[in-house]
Amino acid sequence: MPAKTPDLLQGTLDVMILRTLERAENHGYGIARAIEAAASGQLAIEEGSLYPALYRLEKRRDIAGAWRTTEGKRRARFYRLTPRGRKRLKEQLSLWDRLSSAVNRVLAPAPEPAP
Amino acid sequence: MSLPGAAPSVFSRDRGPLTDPAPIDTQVDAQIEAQIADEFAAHLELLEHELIESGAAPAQAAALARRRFGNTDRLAHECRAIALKEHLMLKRIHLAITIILALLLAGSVMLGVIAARRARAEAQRALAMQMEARMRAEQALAQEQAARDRAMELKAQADDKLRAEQLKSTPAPTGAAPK
Repeated sequence: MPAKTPDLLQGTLDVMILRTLERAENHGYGIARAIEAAASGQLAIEEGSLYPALYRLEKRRDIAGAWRTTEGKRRARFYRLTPRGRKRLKEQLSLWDRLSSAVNRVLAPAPEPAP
Repeated sequence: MSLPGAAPSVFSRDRGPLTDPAPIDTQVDAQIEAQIADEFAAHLELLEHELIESGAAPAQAAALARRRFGNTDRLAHECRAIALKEHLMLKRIHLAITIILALLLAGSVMLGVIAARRARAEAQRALAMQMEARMRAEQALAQEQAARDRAMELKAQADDKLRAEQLKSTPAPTGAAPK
């Protein structure tokens, strides 16, 4: 992991969790590893900070959690995406596209002044 | 299940500046706390296992896992507040409804008592007026009776006087009547 990595924007973690769970249901540790792998170690996530996000998403019924046994015979709470969460993910992805396009336009280098 | 290496105060109620959502239903509270503790412990176990597999010494792995995980007290409190928010809200709504119903009940009882007192006072006043009217009627009746008695007495006196005058004006017989 690089020495200094950007902090996550508020709400970005929620959409990353939803996207991860869209692929397969997973527990908190698995979600952390999946996000880390997808970002190639470019994002610094305090792993425990996933849990308030998971509890918030579960409270909003975007995801549902249940205790199960992992492949390594350990008990863990697995989360899965609900239809409501799938809809929310679609909306959030569209919002993220518009936001990132706008930010990219603002950050684009200014055109060279005509000679 | 307890958090590996965590201080015993992990889920204590002394959580610094964060607002504690307690008091609420203790059973629900305990269930949520146990679930959070189990979930954190499972995560830390898996993380420790991964670190040991990548060559870290077990003692170092535990410390590193806790560092990567973050402040368990603060995170547990945050999760607990999110999970119990709805219960807390329902509890507050329930309390508010109970207070409103109690106030309505007390108000209706008070209004009932006031209405009953007013009705009793009006009934007493009506009874008093009725008794007064009856007394007046009885007095009037008694006066009428007295007047009637007096009239009869006067008439009797007048009759006696007339009779006495008639006896006086009638000549007395001179002799005895022949047999």
